[in-house]
Amino acid sequence: MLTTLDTLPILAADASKSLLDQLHDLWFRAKPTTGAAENVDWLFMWIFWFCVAWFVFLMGLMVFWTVKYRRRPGQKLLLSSSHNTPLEIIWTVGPLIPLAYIFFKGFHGYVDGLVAPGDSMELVVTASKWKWDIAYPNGGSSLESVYARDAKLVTWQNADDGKKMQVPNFGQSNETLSSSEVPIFYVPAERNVRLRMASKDVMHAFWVPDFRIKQDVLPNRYTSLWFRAPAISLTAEKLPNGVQFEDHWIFCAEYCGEKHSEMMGIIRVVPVAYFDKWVARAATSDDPVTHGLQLFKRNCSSCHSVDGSINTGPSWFPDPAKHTGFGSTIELESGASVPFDENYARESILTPQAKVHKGYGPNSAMNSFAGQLQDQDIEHIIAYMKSLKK
Amino acid sequence: MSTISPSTDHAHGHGSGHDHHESYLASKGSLWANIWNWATTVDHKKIGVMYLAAVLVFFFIGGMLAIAVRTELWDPVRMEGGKVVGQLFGKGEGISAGNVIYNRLFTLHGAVMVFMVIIPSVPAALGNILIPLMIGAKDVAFPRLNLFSWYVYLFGSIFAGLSILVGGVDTGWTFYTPYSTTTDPDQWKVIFIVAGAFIMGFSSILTGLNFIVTVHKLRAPGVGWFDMPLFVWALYATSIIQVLATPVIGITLLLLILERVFHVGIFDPAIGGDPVLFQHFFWFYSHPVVYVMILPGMGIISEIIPVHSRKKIFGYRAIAFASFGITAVAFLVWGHHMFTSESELAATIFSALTFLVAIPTAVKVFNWILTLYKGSIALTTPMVYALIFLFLFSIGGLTGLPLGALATDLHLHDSYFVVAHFHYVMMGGTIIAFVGGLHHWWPKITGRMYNERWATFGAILVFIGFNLTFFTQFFMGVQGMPRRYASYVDHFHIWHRVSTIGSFILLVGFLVHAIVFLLSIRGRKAPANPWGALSLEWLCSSPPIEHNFEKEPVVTHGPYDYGLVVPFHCTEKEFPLASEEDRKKFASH
Repeated sequence: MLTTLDTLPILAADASKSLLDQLHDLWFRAKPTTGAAENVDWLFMWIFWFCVAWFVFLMGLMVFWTVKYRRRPGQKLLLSSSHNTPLEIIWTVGPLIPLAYIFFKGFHGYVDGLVAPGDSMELVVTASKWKWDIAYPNGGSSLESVYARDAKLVTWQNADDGKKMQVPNFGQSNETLSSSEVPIFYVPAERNVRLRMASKDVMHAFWVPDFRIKQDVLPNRYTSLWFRAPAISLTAEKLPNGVQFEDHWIFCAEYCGEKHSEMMGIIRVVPVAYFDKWVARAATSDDPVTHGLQLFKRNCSSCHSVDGSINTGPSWFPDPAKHTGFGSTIELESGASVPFDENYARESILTPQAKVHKGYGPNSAMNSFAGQLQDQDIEHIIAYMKSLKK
Repeated sequence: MSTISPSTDHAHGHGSGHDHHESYLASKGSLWANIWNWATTVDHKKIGVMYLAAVLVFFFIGGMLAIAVRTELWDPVRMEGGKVVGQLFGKGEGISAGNVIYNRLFTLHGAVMVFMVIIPSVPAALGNILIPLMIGAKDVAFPRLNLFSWYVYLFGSIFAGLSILVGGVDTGWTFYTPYSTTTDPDQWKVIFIVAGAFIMGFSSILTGLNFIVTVHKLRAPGVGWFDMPLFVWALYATSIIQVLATPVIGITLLLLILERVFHVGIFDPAIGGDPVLFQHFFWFYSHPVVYVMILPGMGIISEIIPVHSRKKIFGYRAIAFASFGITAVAFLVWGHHMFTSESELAATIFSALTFLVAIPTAVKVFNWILTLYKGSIALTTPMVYALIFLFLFSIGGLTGLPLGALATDLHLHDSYFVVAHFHYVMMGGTIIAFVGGLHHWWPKITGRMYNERWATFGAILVFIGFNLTFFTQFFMGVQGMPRRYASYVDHFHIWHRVSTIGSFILLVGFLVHAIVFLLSIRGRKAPANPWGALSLEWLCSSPPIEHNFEKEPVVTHGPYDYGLVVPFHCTEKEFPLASEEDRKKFASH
């Protein structure tokens, strides 16, 4: 819970660890998770100790001299040389050596991270305001998400039943779905994964702090990242079906507007065998409602709720009394009223500005999906809208 | 060696209360006569004081915006048990509404602090007042142009202010495209603030030009290039950057307006542009401008340390040339803001060049610290600020190393680590130096002494508050806290709370300073040379007369010859010289 304060990490330090490890954990909170992260942490800690040494030396001199040579009334001034060419040359050229070392170490780690191994599994990451989407090689996508901000509260959906979107159970009944929906993306442990990334609108940046990787996601070109998650630790948490998993946050690191801070995701590392089963189930469904749900998750759910809660766009929750959702009468910005039927749904997807829902105008924040969604996709989304029950 | 210039003898009898030349602050009669006199003045000191007043007002506004940001982060907006909790702004309107207000606040904080506070703080305010005094001139080279620059700055500020009045912008002070060209259908808000920054750019260019010519042409007899105080060298280097780099941001902001208004595809890929191009243009200006911000601060430190240590600055030429080293490298490192978006080759080259900036910066720090050796160090408020500067700026500089190295930057880029780093440099560096400089020259500018004990207390509060606010942010950044987030995952909570507490202590520290300064107006009259300094501005009365010097000064000693000559208006009893033997030994240097 946010209201209960964690203890300061420094107080929580484990006595069994070495001082160096404890300082590492004070900085990073936890051990590095991937090989690449280990290199980054090693370089960071090297630079850290380098800086500490310099800082203590310089500040030590400063304090020592300030105390030693404090002004005493009436005392004659001391003079000393105000120039020393060899000294100036030494401290101009000398620092070049450690700086060059830091540069090459940084360059080395960077190059290692640039080129993904040839056997990598490629996932396609699509960023849009304000949502991450990952498409798997079989075209499937994740239907799972959580609605809590606390990593400890992250639970799972019943992944064995891909047809239902479950309200996550995090210990309290009657949870309302929030607008901060966090998608969960499964990735296999001990396999190289390459991400090919692009944005649909403005710039975003894909950051997994636990893996120490980050890359801007641009609207006009592909960028990429790769990582290899290590084997799941024996003490990792378990899904209801007994599969062990480890979760890592994805944050958007490039400012992208009003829900920048809600643009998060979770990378869930699972054993390869379970991943293969999972990804087969995540493949694009033939069932209109399930496919509609998949499309909703990928395209619509960042702005539209299905439970009546307030969001950037009107909720799809069918509630005639509140004029929301399929089958209701919708009040428009213009003052007119129209029935929420198949035609209204289709028109709003293709030309969002035509009939703007009251309270969401005068201009709709939505962009047209013409060209992005095919006729059949729109039919399946409508099928999903119709399947929603009060 | 003659110790005191002839003009000093002449000026010696004229403290603050002489009769035939009035101080530049003297009243011109009725209120309206005074307002008209100030509004049309070409006196560099009055123009500097007007800049100073504006900068301090904007600093207060920008600071309160920061307090609002930190207050929101104390208890961030989030969903708990199906309810929205912790919402400070836009209550009852959903998470997005609060986020929009938060985004506008941090955008304005950045824009106000960069364009309206830090850039003009030292050069336009203190530089205007001090450069002519320090080189023994009557005014800057082009006094009317100077007044014009002030009005351009004011006009630009009003434009930027308009964008706030019509609702504010949420683009971030960096105006990254395509977000900035597509956000908010009501495009006047973005255009107003961009136009404001564009207009203020001209003020910056013209002031820089004015200073360059002033330094070249108006030095008093005997003031050779290497006889100038290092503050003047620093501002000279700054002016070169301002003149060369500012036009680029002018063009870039103009292109941004073109794209927004006329839909010319320059940066937005949806209409054929390239978003990374904007970043290149923007940082080609804004990186050199980082040095426009810090070089003048370094100049102030190069004055405060020798004066209050009564010690000749160590490595005068090294410090002066380091300013130009920084100026040269400043133009070559803009790409380090784009390690996560530019090509791999570019990232590698920019990373290597970035490490070069560390060299001249480190040289300056080494020289400042060595100046303390064998000094006679008085812990006056300006000196306390100089020591705080050395502490904070060293942290700011050293934390640049993991950001310059590619592998570590990929993790730290756009995180709170960057936020902490640049606050340590910009605030811990420039603002701290500026406030220290303000305390150093306050007696000269206003003719009044302030209460040193309370001012030093304020400085200590600022030091504690600053470190609590920003050192915590280094940890948050390493642990994965991204910039510009209105809310965050739980494990950052404790760090954010400490940071917010720090920001309030910081606020109290600055309020103490404000009160001390306000009370000083009725305080003790300042002597012409309270610190026993040797540079020429202390030869003038406090406050100076309208034409600065009673008679053109002829300079016969260097600005840092402590222990060799008795300071203007002072006695040897107050500020003792070195022993005869030492003086003979070091007089030749």
